[in-house]
Amino acid sequence: MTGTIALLLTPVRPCADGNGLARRAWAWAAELSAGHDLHTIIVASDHRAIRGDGRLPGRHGVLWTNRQGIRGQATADWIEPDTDLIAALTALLPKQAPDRVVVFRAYLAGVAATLPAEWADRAEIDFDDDEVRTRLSIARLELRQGRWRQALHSLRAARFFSGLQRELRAGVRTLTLAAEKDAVRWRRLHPSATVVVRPNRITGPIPPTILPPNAPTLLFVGSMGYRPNQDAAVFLAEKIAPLLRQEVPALRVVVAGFGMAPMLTRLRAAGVECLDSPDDLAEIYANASVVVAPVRAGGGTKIKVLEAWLHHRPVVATSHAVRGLMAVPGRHVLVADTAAGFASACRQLLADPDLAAAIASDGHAHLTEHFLLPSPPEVAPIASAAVPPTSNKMIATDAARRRDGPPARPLLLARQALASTQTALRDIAAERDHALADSRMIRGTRAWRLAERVHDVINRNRWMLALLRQVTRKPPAVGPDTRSIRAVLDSGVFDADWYRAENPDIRTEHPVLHYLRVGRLRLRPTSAAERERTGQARSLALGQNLTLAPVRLVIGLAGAPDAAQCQIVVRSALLSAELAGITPEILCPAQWGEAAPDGVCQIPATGTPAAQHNAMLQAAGEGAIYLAVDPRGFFDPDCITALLRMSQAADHRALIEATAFPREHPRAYDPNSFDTAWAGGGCLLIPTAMADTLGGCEAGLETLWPVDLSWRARQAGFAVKTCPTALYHPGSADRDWRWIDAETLRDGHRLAVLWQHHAAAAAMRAEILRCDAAVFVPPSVITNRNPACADFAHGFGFAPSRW
Amino acid sequence: MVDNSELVDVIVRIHDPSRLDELGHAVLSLLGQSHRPLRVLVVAQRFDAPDLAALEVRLDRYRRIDPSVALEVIDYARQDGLADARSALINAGIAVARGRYLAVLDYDDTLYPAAYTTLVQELRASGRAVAFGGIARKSVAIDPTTRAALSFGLRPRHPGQTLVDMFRLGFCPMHSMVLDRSRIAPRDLRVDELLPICEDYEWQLRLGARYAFSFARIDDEIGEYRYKSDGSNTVMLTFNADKTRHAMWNGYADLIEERRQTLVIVPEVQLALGLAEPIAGLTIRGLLDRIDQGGLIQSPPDYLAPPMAPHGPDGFAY
Repeated sequence: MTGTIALLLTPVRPCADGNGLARRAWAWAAELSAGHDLHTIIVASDHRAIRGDGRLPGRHGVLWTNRQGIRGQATADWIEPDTDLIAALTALLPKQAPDRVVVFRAYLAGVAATLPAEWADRAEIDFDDDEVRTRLSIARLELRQGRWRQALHSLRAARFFSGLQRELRAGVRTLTLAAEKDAVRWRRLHPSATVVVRPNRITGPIPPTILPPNAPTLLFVGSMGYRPNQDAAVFLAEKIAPLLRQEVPALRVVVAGFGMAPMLTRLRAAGVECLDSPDDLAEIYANASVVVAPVRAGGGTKIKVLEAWLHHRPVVATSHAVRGLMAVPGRHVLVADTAAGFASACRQLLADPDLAAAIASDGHAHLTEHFLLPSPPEVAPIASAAVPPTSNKMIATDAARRRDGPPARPLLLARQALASTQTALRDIAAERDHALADSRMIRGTRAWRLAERVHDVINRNRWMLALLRQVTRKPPAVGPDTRSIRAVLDSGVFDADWYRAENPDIRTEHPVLHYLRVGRLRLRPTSAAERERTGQARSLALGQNLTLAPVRLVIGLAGAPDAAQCQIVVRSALLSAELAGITPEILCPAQWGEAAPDGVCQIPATGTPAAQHNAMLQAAGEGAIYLAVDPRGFFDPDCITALLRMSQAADHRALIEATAFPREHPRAYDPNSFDTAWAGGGCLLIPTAMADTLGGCEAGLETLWPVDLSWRARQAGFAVKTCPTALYHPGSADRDWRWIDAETLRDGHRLAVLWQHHAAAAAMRAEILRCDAAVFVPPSVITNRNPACADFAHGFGFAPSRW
Repeated sequence: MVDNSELVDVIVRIHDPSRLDELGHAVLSLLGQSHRPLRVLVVAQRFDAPDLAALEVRLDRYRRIDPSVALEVIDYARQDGLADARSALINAGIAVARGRYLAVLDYDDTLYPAAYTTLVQELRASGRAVAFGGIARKSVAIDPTTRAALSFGLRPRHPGQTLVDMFRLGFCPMHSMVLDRSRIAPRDLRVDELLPICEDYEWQLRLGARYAFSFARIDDEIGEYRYKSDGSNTVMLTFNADKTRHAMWNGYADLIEERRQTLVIVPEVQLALGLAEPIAGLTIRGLLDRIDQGGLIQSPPDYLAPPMAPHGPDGFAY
């Protein structure tokens, strides 16, 4: 134990003899464990991320994700953290702050951003490849192959990473890349960051030199799940090997690697021997005369070349395959980019054993000088915190949820509960979306222009393409949506013809699929009858068919804006009430003094909740409906009419908020009944019966009293609704809902105590102490609130969000 | 007495008398602006006498709430055969504007309270002619029975950050900008009336080639653009785009490209874009092509040169 901690976030299990990614992770693990107590967290999307055996240095845990991607779309391996993932990550983190934090691969940057701020600040991000260049390179390859859809996907991924890299350049001090060529570009783009070149290296043991076999054999090693390797294998089998066989009829061509299954038929048809997931590569290398790397796309540096050098084999490669390896063509490797050139280079080595031996020897020396990792250090016993997957969901989440009492990492859980991290990430995601769309570099590339042309062609000929697809397409596989499709079809309320006629954007898609993909989310009706039904339901809920019954209304203005604003809010209230056909009683706090317009009653109270409490009770005593209003804003003329109609439709048994306009709170509501989790306090209608039952609002909550009131109302059997046709402009109280101030933070803590949510309370207390200890006031409240009515699972939204 | 040097004239254009509710919401968002003085010019097309009376009644309500905001109606009664005289309505508003600052808001869009305060401050601080803010894009389902607007999603903001981005793509809705008329020649304060669509982008291209723009506040959200499910947006949504509309949009896209190929960027803007030496006769398309070929501008996040001087004697005198 060294006493210092290092934290490694990696997308794969570090493995000395795994694929390129695993080997690079292994190199990090070896380096970090040499000087620190290493904590490795493997952020795994599927079982392939943790395959491999061998012991890992230090402690390690597995964070299972369902890889939601950005807004539900799996984008370029990016993992979008949510509160569940943050909680799961929290459970795996070391107790002590690490001295080094290494984030392996850019697509884990989102996960890294959820680390405590001081940890995230010192994070070193190892990009390995320049993802933009890599994805563009793959896109070009796919375009060459006519895989337009995949090419567009790769281009989108490139654009995505372009935006991401631009952000990261601004926020990360140390960036690591595998190839010097990539690093040069990055240094030019971002001169203030430390850009480190960390070549891909491999580890021993160094095999003994074995003479090449008598049978001329070409070997290509690569994981066939990676498209550039697929392309290289096909290039070798169908272009290079036939040329070579004309002069070397006895030539054997061997392709070895993981995931060969999809390639078997095609490669075997071209006379290639395929070795799927071989146990021992040493023997395969020993039986090869020449190792080839005809790779034409991808990024970073190619470990397959290093591995060939390690096994004392001469290499023929494309210039792309040796980028970043500082190899001298003709000395360490023979380089050719065309099929004819490649065949010629192979023929040269096969015909000249001395040349082959010299190339192999120099290559091996080059490897040992630059790319050989020292033997791995003695590893500490494994103390795994891995949690096995059950349902493609974060596993540690449940453990975190089940945990009672104060959490082990209050600071981090505080961040989770507050969802401030998530908010920041959402902002980053939005910014990233902007950035990716305006990347000049991408638009300037030939690949992008070509893709645009291809896209045009596809658009122009989409009917023909649709027809072709119908002819050639295999029967659709039974996917995860089958149940949903069946549910829609069986519902009896889906009229496919009507839906198609009403939604011209369907084009060639089946209406049910379109509904599940688009219509459902955009509240589009499924049939004429359903549209009428929902229309009627909404109309009933809004009370649009009702004649307003006479009611007594008290409007309580809590707070003390300037005199001009006092006039505006009272004028707007009187106008809105006049249009509703009623004369309200308006109450304001005594602080208004002479600013209070004529006819407004002043009541003694200090602070918003106290004023609302007093006014509400006064209104209830008079048998009046109470309208709690923030006087910094003003009413839309139709606001009070809409609120009273909805209240009447709900038999005056509902707490109803006017919609904050124009910046709405994102809280979700039922689009037909308009029921919602809680109602905001900008303009809030409180029926008489509720004030009688609940006895006013909680005086200890400055900003979140409406949340508490709403939950209590639901506990007492009242409905809580939002009225989309009643608008209230918040005026100077307008703010971006995503930002939380210290007062709200303190209220959040108090609310959690009131509703007996101990984990959230502990988390918020920790966050308060971290942000501004001065605002922390320990509450001591005896409460009869039912925790089941509260929602602390959505941070300071206190409810699911619409966006 | 209104101080014209601070006054923002806001042109609100409306073509449909049945959309007074939405107009009311736009006006409500203007009443909520923290900037004063403010003058709202509602330019109405295809409103007959009863419609105009109804419009006045509706606006009277808002006048009662805050009399400090001037709400005026301009009846655009000219019959020139255009379905929506979108451009002409703006020009009609410009003709009667008298404040130093000018803004445009469509009847179905909204602004957050700090919008004009933010952009006017930016214009004053930067000395530039036009300032832009960010606009959130909200998806809204309009219930045909109740006419309730149910917001169900936020879309990613319009992509773009800089003038070069604008030259490539019209990413700034009309209500994302405020113009300082003292820095723009009167001849340029006019929207091309031949364009029923894309008129805003064409105007922005013309102004962008000649005057200094500020995108410093583009990350500050100042308002919302609403994508409505009833297909009433004047954009080419996949939802409402039939073949005719596609053809129309493609036609105007060609026209915009023609503008890119013919509008010459003045030397001051070229220098402000970061070019070492102005290139005589450099068009917008020429600039974009050179950037795409690489090396023309190394790092153009925004204008690098100091702001340009106010316009000369032929500029607007307030």
